[in-house]
Parts: sequence; structure tokens; C-alpha cells
Amino acid sequence: MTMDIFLQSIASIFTFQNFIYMMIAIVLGIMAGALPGFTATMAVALMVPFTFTMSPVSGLITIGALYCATIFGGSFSAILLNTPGTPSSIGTTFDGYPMAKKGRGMEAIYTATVGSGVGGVMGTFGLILFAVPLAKAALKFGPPEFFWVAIFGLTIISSISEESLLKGITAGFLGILVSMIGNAPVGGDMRFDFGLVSLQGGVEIVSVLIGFFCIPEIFRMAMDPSSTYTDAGTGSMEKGSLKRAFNHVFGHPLAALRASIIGLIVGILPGAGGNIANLIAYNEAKRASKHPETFGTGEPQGVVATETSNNAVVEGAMVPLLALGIPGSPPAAIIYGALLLQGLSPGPQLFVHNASLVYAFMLSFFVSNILMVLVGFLAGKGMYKAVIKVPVRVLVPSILFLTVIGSYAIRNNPMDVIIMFLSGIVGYILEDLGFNVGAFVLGLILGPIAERGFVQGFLMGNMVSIKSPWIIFFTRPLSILLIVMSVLSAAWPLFRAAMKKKSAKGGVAEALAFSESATAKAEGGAGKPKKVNTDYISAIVVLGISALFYFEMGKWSKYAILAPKSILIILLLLGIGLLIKGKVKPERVKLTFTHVTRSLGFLLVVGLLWVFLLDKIGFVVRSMVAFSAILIAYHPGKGVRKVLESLLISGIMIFIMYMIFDRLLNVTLPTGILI
Amino acid sequence: MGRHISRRFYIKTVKRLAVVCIVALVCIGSAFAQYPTKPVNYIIPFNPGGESDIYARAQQPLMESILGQKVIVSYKIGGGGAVGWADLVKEKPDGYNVMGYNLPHIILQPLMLSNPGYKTDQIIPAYTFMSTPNILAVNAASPFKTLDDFVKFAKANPGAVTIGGSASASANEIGTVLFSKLAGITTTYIPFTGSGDAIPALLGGHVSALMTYTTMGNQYEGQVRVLAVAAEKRVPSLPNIPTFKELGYNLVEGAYRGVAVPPNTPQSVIDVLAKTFEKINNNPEFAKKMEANGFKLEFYGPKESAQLVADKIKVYSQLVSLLGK
Repeated sequence: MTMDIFLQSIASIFTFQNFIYMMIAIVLGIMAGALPGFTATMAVALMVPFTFTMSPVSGLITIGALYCATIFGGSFSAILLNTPGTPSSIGTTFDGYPMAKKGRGMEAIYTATVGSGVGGVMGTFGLILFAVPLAKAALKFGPPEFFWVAIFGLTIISSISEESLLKGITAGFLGILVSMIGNAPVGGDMRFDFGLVSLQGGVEIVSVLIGFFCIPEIFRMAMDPSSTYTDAGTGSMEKGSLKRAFNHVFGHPLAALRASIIGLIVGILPGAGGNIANLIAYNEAKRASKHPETFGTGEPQGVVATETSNNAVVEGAMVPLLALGIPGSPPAAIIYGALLLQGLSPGPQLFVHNASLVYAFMLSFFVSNILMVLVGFLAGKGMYKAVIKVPVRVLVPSILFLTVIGSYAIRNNPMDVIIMFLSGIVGYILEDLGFNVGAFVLGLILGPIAERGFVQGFLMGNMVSIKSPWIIFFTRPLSILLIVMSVLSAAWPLFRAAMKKKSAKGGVAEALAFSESATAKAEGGAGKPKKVNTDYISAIVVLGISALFYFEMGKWSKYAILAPKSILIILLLLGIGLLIKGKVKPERVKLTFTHVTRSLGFLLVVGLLWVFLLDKIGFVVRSMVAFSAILIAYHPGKGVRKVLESLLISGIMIFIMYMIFDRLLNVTLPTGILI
Repeated sequence: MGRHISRRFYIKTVKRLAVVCIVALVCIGSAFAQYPTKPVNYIIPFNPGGESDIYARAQQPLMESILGQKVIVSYKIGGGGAVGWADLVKEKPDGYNVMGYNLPHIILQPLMLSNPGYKTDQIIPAYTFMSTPNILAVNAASPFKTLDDFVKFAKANPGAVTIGGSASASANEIGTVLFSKLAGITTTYIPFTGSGDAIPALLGGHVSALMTYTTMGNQYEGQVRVLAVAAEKRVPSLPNIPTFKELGYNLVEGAYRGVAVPPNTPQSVIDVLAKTFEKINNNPEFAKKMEANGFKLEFYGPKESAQLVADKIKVYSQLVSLLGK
């Protein structure tokens, strides 16, 4: 790049108009990202039509800023509500939410903000300096490599489920099985739709995420609506949050750099995105840590890892887009379309014919990431204060309301809402049985990538050997590298556990609690009578689900049936394994999910009615009835005042949400009889 | 006095009558008001960023200015379009929910799936505005310079030639199967999740060729080499590329895209939509932009579209057996 183009590009970024556009995009992006169910893809798609009226430079800068801010905004709900606002913040819930529960929510948000900014800036350096060579390298990843990337991702299970490896693996395979609902990637057969057309689109990951992470938290709050949001006081914790946040990021420059590089690389790979990058970064941070046992209990480094990596993904996804014209992520695909409509063809020619535009776009990421951090401090503080101040009895219906709208907005499919709530109940029970929902989610995300890579790679193998096409998975240099990485990653936790056993002096718990709830459960279960053999129950659950899917199998084509069949066989073996373990070395735990308070029971009934009547009764009436019913039931006061107050709060909330979704974001809300 | 009263009464009556008339006129007027009187939802049953989405995004502002109403583009994704179409046939037939429709998808899905959730004749096309003929493309660095080179190599190495494309049971797969049959070669078809997803596999050398759409030939000019186009005549966007027919293979295959409404939608509404989309295609600036991106503009009105679907049903019901399902 000559100095001339460089200066020209810089000049085209710094106009007052662009500044305004960027600020609007950042505020909207943070808002959209923080709303669970509202993904970066949707935000970018909504913004594109507005950019048609702008100049190409302004349009691109605006979309770029929006994309960054949406990914960043996802951390707010992850930290405050245990709900990843976008799939790129799954790992942020692991430590961000425990931090918030301990009264360190502000610190967690500031840490996520600083981390996101650093990740974005590092990613931008990578994008500008290495775009073309990196994009060329990414092309070396073919179907066999994507298969191994998915396997590598799945090895994270061994690290996040040290508590019970067998159950972790089982949860992962259950996730893969559920991911196979819908169109087969090869053959196109419709699989496991259980006769329901609404299941043909497959299970939406975002709905399951909301269900698994958020709904159990709502249940826990609903156990006692008069409880407080944090377990500890907040006053003393808030002081110095900003300083500590800067320390968490800049005090460990290598950790931030590592997370940025992971984000950039995963972002560059077409088809892999923030959902995978944040989990890999989390895993690597834990692996590198001197005290990995703190991860999952409110370790700021966990938040740094996920949020730094997912914002580097944004710039990473721009690498193949700008260098080769290959959109590497769904939002990048929309930006690609927007470029085409601006009369620009993304790819190598763009660098030749529109160099100053391309560089202006790339350089603008520096500016937007810095602006994002500044806005983030303010918005984060505001959102944190709001959540802290609202009493739990109001938080419960409010969050439930958000989960219902969010899971509907993602695809306008009422089935997604039902799946969201039911997976919440299932997740609540599974956690009690010692299953790791994170492992299930990994299976759900990586299952399709693994299956596609496997079947496409198998077909591709015909180029190498028609007799044994599978050897293609073991002969390519990149594949071999990924295999070695997978083996090391899978074996690492076992190796560490063995080392620990050697050095530990009797009575040290080898189980490293992964999530806050797991810790709480273990403590609560210790030393109490009437424990249940969870291995037996788990085996029955797994075998039951497998049987359900087995009988749904049809006469599918050769390549469509390959993967489901293998997964079902593996699940059968895992089920038997659990039975044997239940006999030989049973894990006995006192179940907590069977304890349902009246307030929780009420929430369950209202929630079920709410989601099942979604497309029967209109939005306003349905939400109003459900929302105010919960408010009234949980209100400690008496008489008319309690009813009026509850009606007023739900009315305001529903009005705001209606304006945001229906009017501002153009999300069609489910209608039915009445409005 | 009496006269006076009666005169006042008369004026009053006239006034009242006038009010009644005006009210009645307004009522009748609004009942007969030209569709649309409120925002129109334009639903795309595919991922944002694909061919349908790019075209719809370009149409959206023009639609708004012609219809005088807001047009909201949204997505109902899943099952290769099936989830969206299953929903469309259940929508109110008032023209406020229109959806992109694709051929051969809406024919092949009901033919091949046990439970697609809709029937082909329930998808009522209002207009078919563009097509993307298949092309056979190889990497720009590939040793295959012509279709002849490609066929010769495939004959010498049966099965070892892999052809990627978008989805299974799609125009791309049918094109591959038909071409292999016509050329007397054995190839392996590898489906990807979309045209865009197949491109990296070609650029990275993971497949020998792609059976893809004309749009890809234009958008990746310089990175890919197009060997032939599966159209009746050479397409305007790729004037130097021969058709399969010119080269001796009777292969005409591709995807058509348009917009459809639920069954029982009033003809007057369909006509408004058809006129709108026709006007947009006739906009020179729009046409130029879309052709540059490899879209072939089509002008099938409601009747012509129905005929197109009927013709294609005949062709595809015979082809299904070739796909080995």
C-alpha cells in the first residue's frame, strides 16, 4: 500500500458524518447483541438497506462498526443473565455470570469491554498486515480438515467435563444427534422431523442456548422470588472495577494475544466463527493457566479469553471476504451482498480497483473498536445498574419475556420457542444428573461441521483412491497436524489429573467443578441421605432418547444415514458404559430438581402455557396475561395496589419490547386471536 | 314560519345526507382501496447473502417506491426452503406476506420428501423474475482449458473427477448427473450448503470442478475458469463462454427464482405484484447491475410462471429416478 492510498483512506474515514453513523451503529449493535436471540447476522441484515443511501465507504464503515458492537454486546447478557446474547459469548457465561453473582458484575463487564476492544484492534492488525497470505492459507482447509477441526473442537469436552468424563462425552454425542434433525447435508433427506414440518429446519442453536443457559437461572431465581440478584453485597465490589478490568487484560498481554490469534484464525476459516472461537480460546486460557481450577467459578481470565477472541473473529471473517470474495461467516455473507449491490465485486480485483475503499474499511475497524469501548463502558454500567436494581420478582418475568421474544425472533418459528423452554427444563434436570450442558452445546454446534466434513471428505477421497476413499483423512499434512492437536488436547486433562493425583496428599478432591451450579450442587449433596444413583438414571435417559431417534430413522440415502447410524451406535455403547459405571463405581447425588417450590411450580405452568399458546393468542394479550400473572403472584404486597402496580409494570415492559421489535427492528411478532 | 322551518330542515337533511355520503364513500373507498394499504412482508426462505437475498435486497427500495408502502425483507430459513414454503401455504391470502420461490426446489421437494409440508400447486407464482443457468467451472489454475479436456480426463479416470455444487437434489446436482450421462463419464457429486460455500473448495483445489450458477462465474472472474453454460443461448453476462449445446451436449439446466403468494390470493393482488416486479426488471439501472452480477433477467407473469412450473414438473418427474433415490 502506498502512502498515498493510506492517507486517502484515513481521510475518508474521519468525517463528521461517518462518526455519527458509527456511533449509531455501535449503540444499536450493543443493544441488538445484548438481546438474546438477536444475532449479528440479523442486525447486519437490517442495517444493509440503510447503507444503500450512503456512499460505499460510509456504508461499509457503518456495517463494520455494527458487526463489532453486536458481537461485543452479547457479553452483557452473558454476564448479567447467564444468557449468551449471541453464540459468540457462550464461554463468557462460564465465568462472567459467577462474577456477577459474587457482586463483581461491573468488573466483569468492564473486563469484557476492554478485552473486546483489544481483540478487535489486534484482529485489525492481522487483517491489514496479512489479509492476502492468510486467505490463501485458509483455502488449504478442505472438507477433511474441517472434519478434524470439528473433532479438535469436540476435545474441549474432555477439559470442561473433568467432573465426569463419561457423562461429558455422552452429552456431546447427544448434542451431535440432536444437530442431525432436519435436512441431511449430503443426500438432502429429511431426518428426525418426528412428523413435524416445523422441525424440518433443524434445531436452532440460539434457542437451545437460551434454554440451557438462561431458563435454569430463571428457575433458580423463581425458587425464591424474594431473594437478591447477587449472593454478596455489591457496594464495595464496584470501586476500582475499571482499574481491575484494565489489569485483567493488560496485566496478561500474552493471554490477550493468544485469544486474539485464536479468534483471527478461526474467523478466517470459512464456516467457523465466534461460536467456536470463544470456546477454543476459553479452553486454551484454562490450559495455560497456573490455577485452572478457578475457571468456572468467576475467573476474569475466562472472560478475557472469550471476549477478546470473539471480537478478533469479526476482522478474521473479513480476510477471506476482502482478499478472495469468500464470505467466511453469515454476517460476512450479507456484507458481501451489500458490496455487490454497491457495484463492487469483493475479491482480488477490489484491492486493485478500489484500494482506498478497502483500506478505509479495514482501517475503520481501529476507530470503531475504540469508540465501541467508550460506549461500552457507559452502556455496560447502565445495564448493570438496571439489572442490579430491579428486584428478582420482576426480573423473573422480564427475562422470561425476553427469552420468548428472542427465540421467536431468530427464525419466526413458534417451534423454536417451545424448544427453548423445553430445553431449559431438560437442561435444569441434566445439570443435576451431572451432565455438562456446555458439552451438549459443543456437540450441537460442531456436529454438522463434522458430518459435512466427513461425508464430503469421503466423496472427495475418490480423487485419491476409489477403493478406499477414507485414507484422504490421514494423508494430508494439515489433517495430520490437526489429528496430533486433537490427541494432545483430549489427553491433556487426563494427563493433568494423573499428575495431580501423584502430587496430591490424600483427600484432595480431584473433581474440578466446571460451572458454578456444579459446585453448589456438589456441596449441597455432600453428606445428605437419600442419594440417587445418577449413573443409572443417566443411562436410562440416554438409552431412551437414542431409542426415540432410532425408531424415527427412515429409508434414507447412503450418505444421509451414515452419520446418524454411527452416532446411535456410540450412544448405545455410552449408555451401557454408564450402566456398568453405575454398578461398579456409582455416583450418588441428592437430586435438587425434584424440589419445586410453589413459586417455581407457578412459573413452570405459566411458562408452558405461554410457549404452547404462542401462535394461538396474540402477542400483546398473551404477554400481558402471562407477565402480570407472574408479577402478581410474586408480589409480596396485598390488594388492589399490587394488581395495579403489576399491570403497570408489565404494560410498560410490553410496550417497550413491542416498539423495539415490531417497529424498530421489524421483527414480526407472533399473532393469533386478539392482538 | 313553516316554510322557514322546512327550509332549515331541508338544509339539515342535505347536510346529513352529504355526511352520510362522504362516510359511505370513504368506507367503500377503503374497501376497494388499491392493494397495498400497509407494509408488505417479503420473506426469503434462504440464508441472507444468497442469490435470492441479494436480488430481493436490490428489489426492496424499488418495490417501496412503486407500491408506496414499506417492504420488509425477512427470512424463514430451513430445509432448503421447505420450512418457509410450508408456512407460506398457511398464510392469509391477502398479499401482505409474499415469499421468494425457486425452481426446481418447489417441484423436487414434494417429489422426493415424504412430508415437505406443502404441495407444488399450492405455491402460486406471482412473477418469475430471474434465472441462473448452471455453469461448469474449474479453478483458474486448472489444467482443463476446455470442456473437451475435462471430458477426456474424466473418461480416462472414471469416478476420480469430483464436481461440487449447491445442495442435494438441486439444479446443480441434476445438472451434474445429466451432464455425466450425456458425456458418458462417471463423476462424483459433492453437495455444499450453498453456492458460496462451494467456492472455497474449488479455489483450494479440493474438488475438480463446480457445477454452479452463472452468478459465481461473474463474481469470481479471474479466480475461476468457466468451461460451459447450460443455457439455450449464450448468456449476456458471460458472452465468451460457449453453451453446452454448442459443444454437443444437450444440457439446459439451472434455477429460476420469483415471488409467490398463498393459494386463494385475489387475482387483483397478484396482478399488482406482477406489475411491480415487471417494472423493477425493466428499470435499466437495476437490470444493468443484476446482469453484471450474473443474474439472467426473466419476465414470466403469473400465467407464464404457472406454465413454466407445469413444464418443469414433466421434466423433473422423469429425472428423479436418475438421482438414485
